[in-house]
Amino acid sequence: MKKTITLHVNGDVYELSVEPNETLLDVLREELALTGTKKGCDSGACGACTVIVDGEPILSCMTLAVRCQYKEITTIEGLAQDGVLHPLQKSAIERGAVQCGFCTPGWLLSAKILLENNPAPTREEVRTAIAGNICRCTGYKRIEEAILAAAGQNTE
Amino acid sequence: MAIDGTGVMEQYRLVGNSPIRLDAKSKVTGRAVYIEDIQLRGMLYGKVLRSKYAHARILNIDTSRAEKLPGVKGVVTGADLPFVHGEALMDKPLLARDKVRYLGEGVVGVAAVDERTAEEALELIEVNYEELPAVFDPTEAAKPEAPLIHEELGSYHHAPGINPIKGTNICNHFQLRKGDVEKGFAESDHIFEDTFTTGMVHHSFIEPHGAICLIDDDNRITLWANNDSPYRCRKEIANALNIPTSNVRVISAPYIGGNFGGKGGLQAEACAIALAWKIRNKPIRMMYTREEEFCSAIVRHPSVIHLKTGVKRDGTLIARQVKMYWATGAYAEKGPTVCRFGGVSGAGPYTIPNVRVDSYCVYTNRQVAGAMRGYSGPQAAWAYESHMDIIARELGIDPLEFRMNHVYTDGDEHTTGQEIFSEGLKECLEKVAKSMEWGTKPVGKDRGRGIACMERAIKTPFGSAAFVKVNEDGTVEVLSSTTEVGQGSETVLCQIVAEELGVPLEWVRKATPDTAFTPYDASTTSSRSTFHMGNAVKMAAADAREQIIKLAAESLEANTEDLEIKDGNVYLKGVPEEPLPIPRVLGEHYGPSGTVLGRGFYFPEMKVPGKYFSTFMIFWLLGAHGVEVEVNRQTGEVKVLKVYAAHDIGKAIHPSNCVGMIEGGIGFGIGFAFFEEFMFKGGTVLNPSLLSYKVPTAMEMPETESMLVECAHREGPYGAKGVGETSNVPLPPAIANAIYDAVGVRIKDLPITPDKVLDALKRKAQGEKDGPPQNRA
Amino acid sequence: MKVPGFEYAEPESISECCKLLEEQGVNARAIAGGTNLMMTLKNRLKVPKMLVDLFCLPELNQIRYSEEEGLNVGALVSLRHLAANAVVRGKYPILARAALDVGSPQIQAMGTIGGNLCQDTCCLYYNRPPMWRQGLEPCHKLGGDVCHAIPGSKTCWATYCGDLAPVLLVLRARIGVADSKGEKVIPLSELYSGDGKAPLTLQPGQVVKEVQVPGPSAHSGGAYLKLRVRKTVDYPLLGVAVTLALEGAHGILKDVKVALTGVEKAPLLIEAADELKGEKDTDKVIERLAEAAYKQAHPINNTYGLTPKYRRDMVRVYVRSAVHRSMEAAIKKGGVA
Repeated sequence: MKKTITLHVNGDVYELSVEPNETLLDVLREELALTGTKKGCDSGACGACTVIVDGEPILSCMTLAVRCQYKEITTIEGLAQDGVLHPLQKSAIERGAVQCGFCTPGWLLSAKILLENNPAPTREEVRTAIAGNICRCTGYKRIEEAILAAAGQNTE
Repeated sequence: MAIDGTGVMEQYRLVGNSPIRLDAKSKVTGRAVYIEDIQLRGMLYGKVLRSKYAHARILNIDTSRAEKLPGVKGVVTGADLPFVHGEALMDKPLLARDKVRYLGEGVVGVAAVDERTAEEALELIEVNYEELPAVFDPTEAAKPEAPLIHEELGSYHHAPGINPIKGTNICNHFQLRKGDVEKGFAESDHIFEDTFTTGMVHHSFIEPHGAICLIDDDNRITLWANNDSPYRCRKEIANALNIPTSNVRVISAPYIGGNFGGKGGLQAEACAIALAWKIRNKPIRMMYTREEEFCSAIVRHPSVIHLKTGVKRDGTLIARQVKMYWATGAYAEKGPTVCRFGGVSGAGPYTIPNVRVDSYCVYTNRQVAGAMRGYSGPQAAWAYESHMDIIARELGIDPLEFRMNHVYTDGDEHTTGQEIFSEGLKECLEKVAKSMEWGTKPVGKDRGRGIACMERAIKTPFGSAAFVKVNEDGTVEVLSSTTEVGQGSETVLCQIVAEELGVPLEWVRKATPDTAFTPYDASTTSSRSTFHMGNAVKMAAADAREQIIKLAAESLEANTEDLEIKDGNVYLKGVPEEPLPIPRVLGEHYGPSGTVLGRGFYFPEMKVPGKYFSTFMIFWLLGAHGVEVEVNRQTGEVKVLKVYAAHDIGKAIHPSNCVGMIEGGIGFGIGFAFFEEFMFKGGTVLNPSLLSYKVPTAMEMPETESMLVECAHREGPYGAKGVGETSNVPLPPAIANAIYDAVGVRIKDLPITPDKVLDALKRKAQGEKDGPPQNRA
Repeated sequence: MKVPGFEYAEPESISECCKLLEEQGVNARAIAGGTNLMMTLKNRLKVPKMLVDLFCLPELNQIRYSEEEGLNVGALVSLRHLAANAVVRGKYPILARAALDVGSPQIQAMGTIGGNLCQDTCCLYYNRPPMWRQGLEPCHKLGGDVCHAIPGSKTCWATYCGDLAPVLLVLRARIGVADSKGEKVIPLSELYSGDGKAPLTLQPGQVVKEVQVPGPSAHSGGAYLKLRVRKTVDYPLLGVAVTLALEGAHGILKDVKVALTGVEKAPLLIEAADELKGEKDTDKVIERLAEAAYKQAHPINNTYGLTPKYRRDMVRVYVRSAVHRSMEAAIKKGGVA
């Protein structure tokens, strides 16, 4: 039976009618057309669907949308504010941390949480923070450097 | 300012810089569009029921219950589809017909109003099978008494140069002969024999395969797909369905979420086409699940490689015999040409007077193997580079020196008979050796250092075409069918166009490939795009430039040779104060129609035997890796302390991107070396998920040092070659060689897991207690 | 794969929650972080008609500590918050360590301490989607009567792979279990049945409500060491948790506890540990613990990578190492070895 829920996504409020068995990932992509959140494995193992819910980095493929009632959700579309790129986005571009781009939204949001809680992380802490975001293209080095650079750390 | 490989000082505005990638912003903001983001009106969703046996005859299929499920719009089986496809060998039905040849093969397709309904419908389908004996090991499958997987192999249509052996499971036997190996062995002082194996691994791009297919009543097909090569895909479809090429339009997704060779051929495309063939005039989408990625897409060939080498006492290589088995799974896919490339490079990048290579592509009842980053390179190099190290160490020769003594250089003859040119392998080895202080830096306890190099063929001779459109306002569109799969070709091709045409990079955009508009390209594979398509867009840009200059020459009443274009303006050479903007040049001549179309087609014109996967190459992908490891003797765990990687890229158009390719390749190599492998029970894949199939995370990555060797190619755009595929190739053998250096044990089967290392250490300790091992020489 | 349909229940109290679960019996499942359950559902391993959302009970999402009572962690506290809690980090560092060793950062943010303890057993032959299970006969855990991991076995050998259980076992944790009639507190070890097929002793209607951990002993130290293929994400192929306490003045072993995960159908508390109280000879302690753990562990071939023989060999190596580290930690805190 469908249930009416209210989702707060990137500052917008949506009232939706969803089946209890729909994942947040499918609702974001299919109902709200927020397709920046990617479906890589749909089984909690790749991190491409990472979004931020109430300040926590979560896997939207493993989250039921009905359980996100009234929660504050940030997806990749909400990372830039008023058209101004987030420092992480900026440094990802500048440091060549993007190749195919499919894992990019996920790790950017993992990194956002990291920097909010730890503004000056070490490389090891950066690695730990993105450990759940699989990237098959970059070998991670540029990603780490982009995150360190966004945190104002010397990456040399 | 840059010095190219010939030592000539050249000045480029853009080539050799590393501008921000043109795709980066849309990717970091989540706006980049991939196949699954495309939604068409009235689109149906496809799902496929898959075989539960590795080898079985299909007795009957009952789809009646599924067809009655509300929301189901159609059901299709192999019986509806009298087609076979395959690039090198046409052996694969769109959905299984009469029998299934691996567990995971598509048997029934369902299209419904949504995915959930399609999934539910699959559960209502009943298929009865008669199980047949299956064969999984490639050496077993190659034997005459093995159960036949394709009884009709002899009648299959195949490309020239492919040599299937009728009445067997061998779908290609490639042979390479040079000199007389038997005589060579007789003249040798030592003979070394080793067998190396690799398991089945997967590309594991994060974006799964996807396709949307629409077929109308007149057999006109539109396919949206994340296929790496729209034209190759189109040809395979037209050939399979026996319809004119122009009936098929393949539109690439704007961006593709990783490829590594895995998104070629017809994977999800085959399912979408199968459904759309039956259910006309509706777009039907097929997205693979992650499990389908592992079980029903394509994989890297498991291999068994025997090497036998004869050497003189002084360490001179005299003869090498190579026998390679490539387990291509249930269908040939790219297997026949993987096997061919493997054979071409089977003896390694070395000058050896006597060589005999037999490379067999063998059907098994397992997942279909095809192209994967390196296209036989990783398996072949694993064998020959481990083998080279074994020989060097047993003869007491420095492994680097041993390689340097034998790697070919310009003017040498490759095993295939081709003369080597524009080749920088020695320089790669030298660079690695220098930066890792080979032979001089002390290593600690249980630490070791290893080195390995590689060659890999580049598919030759294949063409690439491009148009460069200069618009009314001077902005430029590059029409090229090279897909952007993450490798950065969009940026590199635009850089070349901007450089050649003399306009700012920001003016240049590359169009999404669409066979209705963007011209021919053989494929976005084989690390060929920068070289081939780079040449094509360079020619097209030059053509456009000459047209503009000609127009400007008329306006200015000047000679064309006195004009040049810079920053979007035409100048009389030496008169920088009088710029003539391109739009003005065009407008003055054509008014509102002021546009120019440049045209380029590159095809390597060289004397090659055959026009399909020749054994002669327009260039070779070359590189060397050095590795430092530490081995834990208690646990067998190997820690890679540092990787030194040098690749001959000819000329780095976008150096940052080249290094990115190398770093990514190292990640691939780490996975292949240590973690990745399919696990089976019979034909069943036990680990079809990213939790149980272990792709390296950020935590697994070692420190790396990437080095670009720029040995300019005489025909490459600005001297460029390619790099994408091969950066993962030399790493696993370099690691195995370093482990041997550290603790004296040799692992010959990938992946190198701690249990194997610990077991080898125990056996070695036991052996040392029992007395020295017998000299194998 | 899509999650199959179910009725979604949002209980307002723990008693309502337990009542619902009791009424529905096997038809209902409680959902906490969902990291384990969601895959169970997507893979159609269980198809409950109702999901009862524990997140409706915020009172179970609290961490309390007092000198007298020790630590009390509500079942819904996420692993991420558990690991970040100052008291947990300061007084129970191995618990914080183990929480950070679970899955990925995202799994830690979603997964809860209660959910982790109640994690189902794993097996490569079991944890797969339906289409890919078809190729093999249904195993015991799927309601069939074969075991693919140990051919011929009459029972299920699915392996318990939780990271927190061994740590909480050596920390002498007790759990509060609520049902429709009220609550009881039991030792954590009693949560586990030792049956691969149904690894928990909880009855329908019973819910783990909280975890109680006694205050740390003086001069104590501990360690949690995890063997896995990658340094992150993966379940343990072996996990060894150790706590020990030394007599401050003369360095005699006052207490030692060792527990394992990933090598049996339940987390294993190593029995011989109790006999070693009062032992002065450190090497002897270590060897006897390593040997006892080796004997009790039975890793089998039902997981990715690393042979069972290797994993069993590693029991000795990891126990030795974990005891060493625990001793070092205890000495640092004023114990004399």
